[in-house]
Parts: sequence; structure tokens; C-alpha cells
Amino acid sequence: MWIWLHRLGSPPYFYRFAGRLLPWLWTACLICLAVGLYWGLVVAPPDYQQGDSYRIMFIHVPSAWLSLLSYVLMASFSAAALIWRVKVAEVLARSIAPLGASFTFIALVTGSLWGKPMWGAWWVWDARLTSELILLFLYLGFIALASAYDDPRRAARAAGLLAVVGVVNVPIIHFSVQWWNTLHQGSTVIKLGGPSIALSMLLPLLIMVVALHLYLFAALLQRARCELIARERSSRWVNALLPGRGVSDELA
Amino acid sequence: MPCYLDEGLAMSWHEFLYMGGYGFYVWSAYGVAAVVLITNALLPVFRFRALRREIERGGER
Repeated sequence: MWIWLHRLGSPPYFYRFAGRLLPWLWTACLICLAVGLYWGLVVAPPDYQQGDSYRIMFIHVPSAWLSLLSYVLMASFSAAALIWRVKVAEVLARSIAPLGASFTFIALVTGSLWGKPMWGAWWVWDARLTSELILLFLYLGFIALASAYDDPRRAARAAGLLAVVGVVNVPIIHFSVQWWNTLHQGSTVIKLGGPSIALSMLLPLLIMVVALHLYLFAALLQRARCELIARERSSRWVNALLPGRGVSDELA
Repeated sequence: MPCYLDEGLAMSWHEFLYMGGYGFYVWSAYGVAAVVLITNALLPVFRFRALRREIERGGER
């Protein structure tokens, strides 16, 4: 396991490994998306209180979860990069930031579009919503810092520190619905005594959760490969990927 | 589009898009998500092509 992790830290090995994994990840992601969307939007029954508006949940909840997972991963990659100076970890942290920001953005926008018909307001300064908005700013701050220096390694260190410090916001978001009286409803899936949501709605939700996890990993690997090539463009292994120099179709 | 089989009704396209009156909210939510996710998936593809051309020209930065 450790040896394998160590090999993954080598840019050419990581590049090839990610390239082999990507087609499988995208295929699995598209299948889950198709099943999850059909099930969630067509087959699942309307909610007895919220009617059809609750169907926003199938995109809102997975996005919100992934916005947190992406942040934890970004902070972990950053910590690995700060401690061991692994270039691949820097690249992964840099590559997951826009994806995490996208999921946060989707969670906020879909939440707003769900809040308007249900609460009567697009936005309220509630603990859950506010802490999620802060998460978006943390991502944007990370992206800004990571592109503020000419030297990619110094940029990664500055941004990495921000990522590691900002991780305190993650438990705040998660527990905000318990710590404060919020308009945002509490968790119905992860709780003691099992989920309090009908199976006909829970199953499509779980499939969408799987689909978006697959999306995150596929998009992350794709971005990371790009970023690696960009950083190592003058290295020998990248030039060896060019057509007519042995491994012909690898630079794609 | 078969749905609500227990009521013996097949759902029509109109019903599907209407979403019990919440069509605007539901479809805007999915529309925004689709645009963001598809853009994120496609950007690296274009960047890859540009990088490849640059490296093939033998260009260093």
C-alpha cells in the first residue's frame, strides 16, 4: 500500500495510472447519472408536503456533501504537499479547488431555488447557509492564492496553509443545523436510528450521490493530468509522450 | 413515460415539465448544475489540446 502510494507520487506513473482509470470512471458516472436522474425525476413519487419541488434534493444534497468532501480532500492534499513536498499532491489540491467551488456554488444556487418556493425567500442568513457561503469564499481564496505567485511551489505552500486552516469550517457546516436554530432542516439521511426518508426517495438519492462522487474523481484526475503536463512541459517524460517518440498515443 | 402506475396514469411530457407547478425551480436547479458540471468536464479537454500543440511546437514557456 505504502509502496503503491509512493509510486503514485511520481508524476509519470500518476499520469498513466489516471489515464487508464478515467474511461471507467466516466462510464460508471454516466450510467449512475442516467439511472439516478430517471429515478429521481420520473419514477419517485411526489412528496406529501413539498410536492415535486423536493426533487431539487437529488442534486442539492449530493452537491452539498461533495462540497465538504472536496474541501477535506483539498486540505489533506495540501497537508501532504506541505509536509512531504509531493508535487502530485500539490497538483491534486490545485485541481480539486475549482471542482469544490463548483459543488459549493451548485449547492447554494439549488438551495436558493428550493428555498424560494418552500421558505418564501431566496436567501436567509441562517447558520447553515452562511457557513456554506464562507466555504465558497475559502475555495475562491485558495484559487486566488494558488495563482498569485509565479513559482508554483511557493503558490502551493501559501494556498495550502489557507486550506489547512480553513478546515475548521467543515465541522461548523456539518453541525450547524444542530448547534443553532436554523431554518435549514436537519439531516434526514445520516442520523441515529437510520434515515427518516422514504426508501423510494432515498434510493435515487444514494445513486445520485454515487454518480456525483464518480464525477468528482473523474473530473479531478482529468484536471490533475492537465496540470501535471503544464507544470512538467519541459521535462523528459512529457516530451517522450509526443507522437513519434515511442509511446505515441499517450498525450491525449 | 410510465409513472404513477398505482394511479393507472401514464405521465405526459407536459406533466413532467410542469413538476406540479414547481417546474421553474426544479429545472433551473438542474440547468445550473448541468452547465457547471459540463463546463468543468470539458475545460481540461480544451486545455489539453492547447498544451499538446504548444509542446509539439517544442516550445518551452
